[in-house]
Amino acid sequence: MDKLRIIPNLEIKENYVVKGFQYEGVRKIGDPKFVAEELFNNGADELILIDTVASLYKRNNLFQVINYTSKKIFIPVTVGGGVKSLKDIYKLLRAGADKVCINTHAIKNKKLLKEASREFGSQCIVLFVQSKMINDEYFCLTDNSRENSGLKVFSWIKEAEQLGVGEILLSSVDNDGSRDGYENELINKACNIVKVPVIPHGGCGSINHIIDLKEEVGSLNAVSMSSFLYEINYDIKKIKKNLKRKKISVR
Amino acid sequence: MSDKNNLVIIDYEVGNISSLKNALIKLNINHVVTDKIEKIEHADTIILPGVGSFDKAMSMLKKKKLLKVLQKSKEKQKKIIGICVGMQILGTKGYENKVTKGLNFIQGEVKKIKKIKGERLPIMNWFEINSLKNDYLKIENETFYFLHSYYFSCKKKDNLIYYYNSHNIRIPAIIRNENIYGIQFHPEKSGTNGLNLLKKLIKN
Repeated sequence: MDKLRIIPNLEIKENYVVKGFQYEGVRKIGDPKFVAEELFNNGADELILIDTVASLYKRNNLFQVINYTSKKIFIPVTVGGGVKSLKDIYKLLRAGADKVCINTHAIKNKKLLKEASREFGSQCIVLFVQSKMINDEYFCLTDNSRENSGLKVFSWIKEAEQLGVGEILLSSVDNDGSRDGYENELINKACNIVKVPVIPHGGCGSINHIIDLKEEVGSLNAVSMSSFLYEINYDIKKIKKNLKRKKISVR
Repeated sequence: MSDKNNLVIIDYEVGNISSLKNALIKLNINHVVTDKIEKIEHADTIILPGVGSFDKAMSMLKKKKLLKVLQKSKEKQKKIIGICVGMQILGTKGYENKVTKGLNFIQGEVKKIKKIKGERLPIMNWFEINSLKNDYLKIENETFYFLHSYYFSCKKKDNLIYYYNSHNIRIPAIIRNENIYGIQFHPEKSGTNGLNLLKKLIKN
């Protein structure tokens, strides 16, 4: 059985790691360089860094952070925010990102996913989905959850897998920042629909939420979280110790 | 610069080279990132990095006219270390996107891992590796980060040094043919274990 990867997901605005509720009303957490290094030293298996205002300002502001993390942090780093072309992806990879995640522009220009996975390999192209339930169905939001694309989550992830993405970061906007637990139903269904790894995000508020989700979705090999980690002082070692006790394999 | 162990990382524009470069800086290992034939000729150790596809990697090596200098380096028994796709192109041929001839420094074919129920593909995870023989690297049971959906199927069992199990197959983690080493995982992304391994491989 695969190990369960514990992946901190840092939302970055201007020069701060921030955290909000349903991607709104953000508060400052700290310097991204410091936070990233703490998480690496505490046993993070990978990191995700997202520039939450990149689509809005039409540029990704994370180059300085990636440049720093690639010197200090020797685990895979996924970077996202405002990625709209092959050139953007190339620049992020050259700067030190290992994978690039794309939401808004993948929906606006579906060719991008196909061309990107052909050019750089599926393994470094991650689809980022911000899911919101509207009238009993899950829809994909774009522009850091400000817009509804009208695309349904399950058909979009299936299509994106066929276009060649190697992984899916599936965030529940409804549960984001709530610390009430992952949206297990959404994640379970998504994991049955695609074969590529799915990284659930949104709602983690305790170690039991991870255990519950893993028990429900056996093939799950990653979970992502943010506010919970800030609350427990980045103590991923403690999370892993507890997961091991429940016979969940971790690094 | 006079450096006894002249290390070159070949820049063939496939993926993220800066992580590898930064890992070597962290280890205080002098190195040059280059696509210049003269510099590669003078190297004692050559690293072929790579994220991307087999066919793209081979076509970039051809475009940069680096096949001959690599062949010569092999004949001169220089140490050549291929990482990820850099490891896969050491093989005889690959099936990614289309059938492409590899460098054939270690005999074997690079094939797609078959999907099986309940396991995710591409493989993106940490795995403990097991060894088949006593090797000076001594990294049995250590954990490293793998990121791939194709695997190197060795023709000669002798070339297989370390492996891990996934998708109901034994997947080579480190292969070797004399001074040619292939590493499927990313040592530059495998925390302290990975850095230690890089040091051992380059210094010994």
